[in-house]
Amino acid sequence: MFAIFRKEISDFFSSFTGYIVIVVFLLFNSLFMWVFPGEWNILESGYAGLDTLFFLSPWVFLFLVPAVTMKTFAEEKRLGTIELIFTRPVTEREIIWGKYFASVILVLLALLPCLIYYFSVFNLGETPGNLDRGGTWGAFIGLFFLAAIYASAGIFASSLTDNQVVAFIVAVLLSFVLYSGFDSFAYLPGLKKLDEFVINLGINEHYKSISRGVLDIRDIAYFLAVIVIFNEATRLVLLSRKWKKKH
Amino acid sequence: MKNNQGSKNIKVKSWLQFILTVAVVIIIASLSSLVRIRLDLTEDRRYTLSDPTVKILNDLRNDIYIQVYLDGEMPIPLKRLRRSVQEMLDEFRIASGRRVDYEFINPAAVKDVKQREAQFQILSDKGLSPVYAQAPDDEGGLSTKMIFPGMIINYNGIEIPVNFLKNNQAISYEQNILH
Repeated sequence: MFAIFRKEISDFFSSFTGYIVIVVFLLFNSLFMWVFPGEWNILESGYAGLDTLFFLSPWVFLFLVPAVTMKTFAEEKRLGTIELIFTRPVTEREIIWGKYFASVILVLLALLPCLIYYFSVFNLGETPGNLDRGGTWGAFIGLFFLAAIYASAGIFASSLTDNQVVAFIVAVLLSFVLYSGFDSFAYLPGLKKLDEFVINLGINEHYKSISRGVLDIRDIAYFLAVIVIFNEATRLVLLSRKWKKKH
Repeated sequence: MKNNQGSKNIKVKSWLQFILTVAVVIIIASLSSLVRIRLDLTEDRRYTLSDPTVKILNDLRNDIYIQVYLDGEMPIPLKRLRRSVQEMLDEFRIASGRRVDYEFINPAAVKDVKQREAQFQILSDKGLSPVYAQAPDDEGGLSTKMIFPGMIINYNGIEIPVNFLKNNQAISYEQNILH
């Protein structure tokens, strides 16, 4: 697993992918938070809070994380190198988790520089340190878990096809449904009785809950469960190659 | 022929493995909602019972009975409020050694209009203030509903009304920090 993890990481940084993802993420957030005037601007808002970051990031990640993961299996399938990996003494699970952790680490690397925002706002407040610390740290953790789910959904989408564009679009769609789709489903007339349950299936509810600054075991269990389910689904797709061959 | 059967076995096996793992994960995840482990990162411990509260609850001699009039069909923010109230009351219950008991009542459950009006009148006489919320009804239209986001605490034969929302002009649901 570790070998695959290392290979993926070095892939990210030997090509442009890794750098571009990190730079685009930071550039986008920084511009909206500090430069562009408007409702997102922190300096204009007058409040020492990072709400902008935690509102925008799920949407930025919605496009960036699939861009990171779309390559993972689709590219290997197209080039046929996937067969090489399968001949190695590694299980499907090890391949998936290796690639998965590589993608998550890349997201984490994009997220880490955001701590600069934290310290800036922390010190810029009229009373320095006047910042909802618990809520902010909670939101950082929530954001990380959210991106981690996007990554597992993205890898699943990538395993379905050998076309990277298709993988990207499917991944964006999946992540979007997970993030805010369930909230909208809950308003369907037919689901009126179940609306609370349906909302709890979506990421948004748990993300908001963690953003309050309370790490609840239920929210963390939700995030981990979704990640494991997607990675298991990916494994199923990978295993399907064995039963499709007809001799 | 034999090969074909072998690949079919693998298919069944991998599907079984997948379904089993997913089932186990879902069961573990839903079991985790039974244990209440939470880490409060906020500085003022907004979401944790304070020591004085725990002490008061510990020293209770008589039972407290709480009636919460927040139940039935209502907009989602109010449902969320209902859930956080329930969670808080659950924690009170545990901290007090089951001295606190509560019940959720839907004041609009009575079909008869007159009885319902009377019920509403009793509630407002007791000191609960209603809010008006737009809620989709069964016919698919919107209807304005009267909702009493509040509770009545019975202790030693005394009834104390508590309203969850402070200002009632517009429904500011986001006032979950009222406790």
